[in-house]
Amino acid sequence: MTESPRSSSQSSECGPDCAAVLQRLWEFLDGELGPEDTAAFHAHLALCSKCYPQYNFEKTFLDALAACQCEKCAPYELRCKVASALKSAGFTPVQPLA
Amino acid sequence: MGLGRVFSSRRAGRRRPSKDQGRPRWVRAGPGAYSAVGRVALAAGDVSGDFHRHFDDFELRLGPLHGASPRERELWYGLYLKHRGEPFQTPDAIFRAMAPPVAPNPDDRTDYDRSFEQEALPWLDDVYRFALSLTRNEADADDVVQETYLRAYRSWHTFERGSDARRWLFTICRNAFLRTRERARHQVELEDGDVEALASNVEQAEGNRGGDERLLSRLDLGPALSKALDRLPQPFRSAVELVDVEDQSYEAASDILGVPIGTVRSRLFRGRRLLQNMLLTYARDAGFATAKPRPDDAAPTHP
Repeated sequence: MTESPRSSSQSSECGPDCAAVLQRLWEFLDGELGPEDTAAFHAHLALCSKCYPQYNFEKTFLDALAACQCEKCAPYELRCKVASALKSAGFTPVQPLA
Repeated sequence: MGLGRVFSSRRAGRRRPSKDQGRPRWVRAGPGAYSAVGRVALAAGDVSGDFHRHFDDFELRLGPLHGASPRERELWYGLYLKHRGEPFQTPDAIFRAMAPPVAPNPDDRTDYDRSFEQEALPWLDDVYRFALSLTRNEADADDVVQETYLRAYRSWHTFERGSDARRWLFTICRNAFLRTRERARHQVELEDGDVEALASNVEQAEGNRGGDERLLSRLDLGPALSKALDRLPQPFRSAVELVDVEDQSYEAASDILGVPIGTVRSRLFRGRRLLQNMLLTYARDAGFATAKPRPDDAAPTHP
């Protein structure tokens, strides 16, 4: 299904590599791999049509996950509560808090 | 203190930091993006989040507003320009402005308070989200956030100059949560057993996922993920919340949660798998699993 010219040319040499790449894909996406591994992953993903869709999928997933809470902000009442609690603890804001 | 926050606005939709580009973490655009804008909002005396109107007369307010140093004004002015969509060509000014963090000095109350205001208060939303992920209950989260900020204020002099204030606050937040709910901690640990079983089920289902991935790509991921995240059990939720939502490193998350990095990794990965599985269930329930392609009506409409 994912056959393409580049996969057939790569399949012989990237076989064992693919397993390792897929296994550590999340760590790669999280920026937790060392520089050599990161470079090797980039090189592999640029060429391998088996791993790339998986990479793309995981990246979309993580992007969406990172973005899905953006709009969840502390309610105004909480800001006021925190502000007044801090004030009673001696905090003097440079700018009025609430 | 991340420079990334200068260059992107959370309002405009947070980008996933391009972690795979091998740049150091502090350069990446991250959730802190909001905070520089938040600081502007604070400076504009507006903590309600509705700060856009302040930008219109921002220039006028620059002087009297902050009592700020010239470099801080430069920074704020840069943000103002960015907000207006005008080109801002002197990132050096921003770099200079961001470089020297204000050191908390317990002997100088004004300095102490000001640095607290500038470095700790802008993270209120982040701390709130983290507290919410721990308590799963808005009233409890409110208490935990309040407690966190009180503790943070009292021990602000122990904050290490130039280190990551958000990580520091998260740690305090988690401790506040654990202390206010000693019993809850016990419960969380008991829950682990059930959750392990659940997680291993998910992993078994992993093998035959195949075509499911294209289901996910047809969902409107944001709202579905948000719901799934709310249902994600501890301890996975905290790991996912810290690493994926708040962009902490594995190491920072392990520090905040008080568990080894390996544990963070396994909780994080299992949490992500659980989330993906919930999304797949959701996609099936929403009818995407049927053979009929519905290209014009991709968004799920029923509750």
